[in-house]
Amino acid sequence: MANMIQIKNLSNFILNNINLSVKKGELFVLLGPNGAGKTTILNAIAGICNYTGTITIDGKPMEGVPMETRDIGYVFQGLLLFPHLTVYENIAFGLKMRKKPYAKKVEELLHLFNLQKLSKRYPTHLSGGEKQKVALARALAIEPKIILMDEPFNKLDPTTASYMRDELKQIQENTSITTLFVTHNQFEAKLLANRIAVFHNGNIEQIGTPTEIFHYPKTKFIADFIRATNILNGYVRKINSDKFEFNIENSNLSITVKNQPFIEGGKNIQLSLPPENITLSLTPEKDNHFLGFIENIKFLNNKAEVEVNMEGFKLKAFAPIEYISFLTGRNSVWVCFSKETPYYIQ
Amino acid sequence: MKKLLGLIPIIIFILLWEISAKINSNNLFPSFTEVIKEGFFLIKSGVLIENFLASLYRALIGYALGAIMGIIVGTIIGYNKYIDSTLNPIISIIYPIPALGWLPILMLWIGINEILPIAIIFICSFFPICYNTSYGIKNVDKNYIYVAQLLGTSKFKTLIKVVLPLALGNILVGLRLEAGMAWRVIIAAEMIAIPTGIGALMMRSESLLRMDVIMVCLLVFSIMTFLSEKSLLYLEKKVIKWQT
Repeated sequence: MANMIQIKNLSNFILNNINLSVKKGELFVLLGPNGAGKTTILNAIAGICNYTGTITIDGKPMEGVPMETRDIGYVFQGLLLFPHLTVYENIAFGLKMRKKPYAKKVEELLHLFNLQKLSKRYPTHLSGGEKQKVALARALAIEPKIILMDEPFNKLDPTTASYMRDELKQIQENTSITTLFVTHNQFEAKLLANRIAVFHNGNIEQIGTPTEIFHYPKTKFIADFIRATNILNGYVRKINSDKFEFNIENSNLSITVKNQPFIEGGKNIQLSLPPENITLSLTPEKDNHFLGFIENIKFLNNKAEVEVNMEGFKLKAFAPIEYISFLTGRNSVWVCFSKETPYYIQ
Repeated sequence: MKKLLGLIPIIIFILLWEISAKINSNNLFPSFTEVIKEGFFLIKSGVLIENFLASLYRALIGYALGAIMGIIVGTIIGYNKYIDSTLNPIISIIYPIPALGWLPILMLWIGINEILPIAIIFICSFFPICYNTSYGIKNVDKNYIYVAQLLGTSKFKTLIKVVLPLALGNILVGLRLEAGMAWRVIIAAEMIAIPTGIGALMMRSESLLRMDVIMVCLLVFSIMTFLSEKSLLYLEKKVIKWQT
């Protein structure tokens, strides 16, 4: 699929040599903590802030292109609905300014977002969720090439935010509009994204699908930030041709890990052990198996997060919900994983 | 009911005024009823109307010119940072000078004629309205301007369609405060230098020891200031209906 947004060597007061491409029709999430540079990327694309490097949208370089002709819909963090205009007038604003027919399009959007009854209201008389819908409808009304969304749901209550995410996902899929979505909420990123770029201190740490980011974080920062995996600190003890022994720091545990060309003996490294890939069993299985004690079971949506203590070293593992009756009332369980499961992180 | 509560102190004040004036019968302290009677007499004779219209005409023309120019210049200063940097120092120097401070200079430059009070009211209105307008425009969240421009609006249209409506609150507050101020200044200017108008009538009455006429003039002045401010407050509420 062709690229809709191409960013090359983008730098400014926050960003350091960013390279990024977003495909046509993609919902691309920029994930990272506050101050990482996510909003600055959006502002650079919109032409709001200065930068060096190049940005192209649909093959057209954006240097010197004024904001009003960039064909971008931007949903700001504060939403910024025009307070002196009604819902209808807010949605129609862009089309009116472009001297395009607006009545039919506005009616369509009011219907799409179920806002017909609120069309004559001013933004001060709308709830948070309703304001979100109007802001998105206003951005979509001009049929832009891309939509930029800066943490639009972070001030909403969890129920409304969840509803709005579903709505956005649905609309984005139906319209196939290229969307760049900024968030610091990893759950939101996982739910919405086709691909994710993780930002830290003005740099991109990793770009990948949600599975790649959440199961195989490339750096310690990402692993810590998403808190989705077990981080094992330790040193490489013994290397064979296809595997090596890894001693986990502050414990007597030693695990077998599939060898990789860059692993050197005696060196301290970090491994990630995704909880999804750990099996909890009654009998020892696989290359690595340790008897552990169940310390805590936390129920998530369709699975349980089980915390197991192995000689003072704690690991998180996921178990299917139907497995819980088997685990309940049991003190110990075998923690099993193959030598291919742990992977090296930078 | 709540609004009627405000009438109680006024009624008590009038009663105390009336009683103490009756007890201490004195030309220098006429009672409320005597002042009202004199007011009707002055209206009937045409003296009050003539002087009131002279003051009203000056206040309206001076205020309208000051407001229009103040809004135009304030908008330009508020919307363009280069013009702001250029004009801000000179306005900051001139703005603190009291309007009546200009009177001696203007008397010599313009002479004592109808333009003098209009010029004083113009100066009195222009600077604060200009200041409030530019302040209001500068305080509009820049992101609203970005939103408008990203939606396809030119800079000029953004000013008209977004910035000015959002700054309207501040602009109207400036207009309201200066409407009252215009009356205060015109009365003072007429007392000092202009031979006609409510202020001049007060000065003539003072030399004739006509305390009742002075009080009539003060009542007219008070009512006009009150009405000017209230009518602009009403306009504010009507225009910025989206805030309520």
